[in-house]
Amino acid sequence: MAAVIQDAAGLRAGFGAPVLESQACFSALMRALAFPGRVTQAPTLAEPPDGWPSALAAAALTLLDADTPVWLDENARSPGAEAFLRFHTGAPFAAKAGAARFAILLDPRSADFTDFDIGTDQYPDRSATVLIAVDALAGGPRSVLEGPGIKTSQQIAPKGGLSGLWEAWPRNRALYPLGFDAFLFAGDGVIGLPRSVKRTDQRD
Amino acid sequence: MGVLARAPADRLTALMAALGGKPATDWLRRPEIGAVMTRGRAGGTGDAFTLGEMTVTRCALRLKDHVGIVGHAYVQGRDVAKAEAAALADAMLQCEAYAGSVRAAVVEPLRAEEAARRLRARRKAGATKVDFFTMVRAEG
Repeated sequence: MAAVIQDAAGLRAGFGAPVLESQACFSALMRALAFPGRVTQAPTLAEPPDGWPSALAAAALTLLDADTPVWLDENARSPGAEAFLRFHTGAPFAAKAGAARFAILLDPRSADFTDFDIGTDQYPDRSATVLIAVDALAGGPRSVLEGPGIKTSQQIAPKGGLSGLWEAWPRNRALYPLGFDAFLFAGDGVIGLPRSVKRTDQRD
Repeated sequence: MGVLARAPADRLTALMAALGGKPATDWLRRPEIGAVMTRGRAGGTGDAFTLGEMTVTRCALRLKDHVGIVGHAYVQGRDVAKAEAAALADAMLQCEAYAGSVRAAVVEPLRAEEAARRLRARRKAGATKVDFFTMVRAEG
């Protein structure tokens, strides 16, 4: 019992209106995936765990449940964040990145993007979705996205150590229909990166 | 917690309402009504089996002025007010400043009432008891 109380120290509140706000957040995440690269607003969460962008915490509350093992990177892992997810979602914590349906990265620099579950030929949908916190969704190195959901091309410039992700992206795309999907979060904003999108460096 | 959960809703809410000086609270989880699957074991030791679904109201709140104290409540039925009162009592019981008064003014009276209820039920059942002892002796 003592351990339970310890974990609950400063437990953060979730959505004020869980049903409506998680539906609104789910719809925002779907829109973000349908229009890759377009910055979409997620509902605000008043008190996300320390260091988590509000939109990332809102997405976690929306997507996770008892059937979706979640893996947190070193930076995301903290007693407060784990208590938050355990209380609000009941999601089990995966010991390895490869066993997780959702991965939460606060520092994409340290991630090995070949670790994540890419699904199987029979069930390509049973792959990991990687939720990545970045410093900002604009103002970083510019990339050009092309593919389904984009009429001609879409520019994005997220800032925050994404070179590892971009390095892994061509391989991830080549695996199609297998592969992981990713979301980038900063503040209230989210950018969706489905596995189908093609990404290149912006040439000036 | 068991005493709070089993108490009749109107008694619990009345006792909590009568209690003065309650702390301010924030919701962690607003009261929500759902169903839980209850499981049982025959005789308490046999294989687990599914007893059926039970309607449950749950909520969780925290005290504004005492960081880290979270009151939880899961109560049978659809009574939101009862779940709220039970969660607040649970939080107050974890807090030294309130635990004494809640225990004396809420938990102990409810515990005594529950014991009286059980005794009454046992007496009623006891009055209908049939003693088969004489039949066993008649055979031997």
